[in-house]
Amino acid sequence: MITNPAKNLMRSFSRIPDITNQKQTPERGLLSPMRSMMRNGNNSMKEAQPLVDAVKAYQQIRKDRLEIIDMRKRNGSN
Amino acid sequence: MEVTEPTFNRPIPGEGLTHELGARPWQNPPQFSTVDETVSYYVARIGQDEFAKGLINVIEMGVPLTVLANTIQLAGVMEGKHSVDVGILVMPALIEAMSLIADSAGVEYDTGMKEESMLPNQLAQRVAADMSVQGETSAMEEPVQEEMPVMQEPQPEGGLMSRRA
Repeated sequence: MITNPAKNLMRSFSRIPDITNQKQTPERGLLSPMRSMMRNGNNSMKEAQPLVDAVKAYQQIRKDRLEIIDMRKRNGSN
Repeated sequence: MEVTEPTFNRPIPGEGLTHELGARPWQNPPQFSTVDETVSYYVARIGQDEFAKGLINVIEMGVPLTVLANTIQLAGVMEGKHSVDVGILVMPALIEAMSLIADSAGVEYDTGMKEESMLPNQLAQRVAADMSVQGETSAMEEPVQEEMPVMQEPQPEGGLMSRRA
């Protein structure tokens, strides 16, 4: 019986590629207005929005932590 | 010989369910409904000096961060800060925040992500020996009775569409 899901969650979150720096680029082509209209009506992203927010927060804190470790290593080596 | 008197000053079974609906914090709408709000609440709370000191002490004792994160988010659910699903989503960010604090304090910590260590050979052999001894004694005490197969008589078909004999 799994009493603490944190371990599995951490493993899953660590496998997700970086999504903190994703920028929405404007689409090109004849069908781009139609595509954007269809995406606005799509609710699948809204349902997954809490998970996306959680992954973004996790990756942002992880980035900060790794940056601090790198800074310390540089200061220690110098 | 002392005879202990029975104590009746105990909760009645089911007494915990006798509160009115909504009397408990977790039965009300949570204070923070989104993941972002909850993460910022926990990060701000973990960043407080008093909380950080206590947290570092607990981490130094060797408590895994996964266990700590689970406990903290469960406490948040009980206090009515957020819902259970938001708490579970927040846990990895909590673990990272706690490891950030431990790193900045220069404390070694156990993330709780390592695989459980295998049993040493001696212990495994001892367990196997114990199990074999137990198996022999139970076999001697309780002889296994073989179940006789029960012959089932063919039941007559009684459906509307069954063929007549």
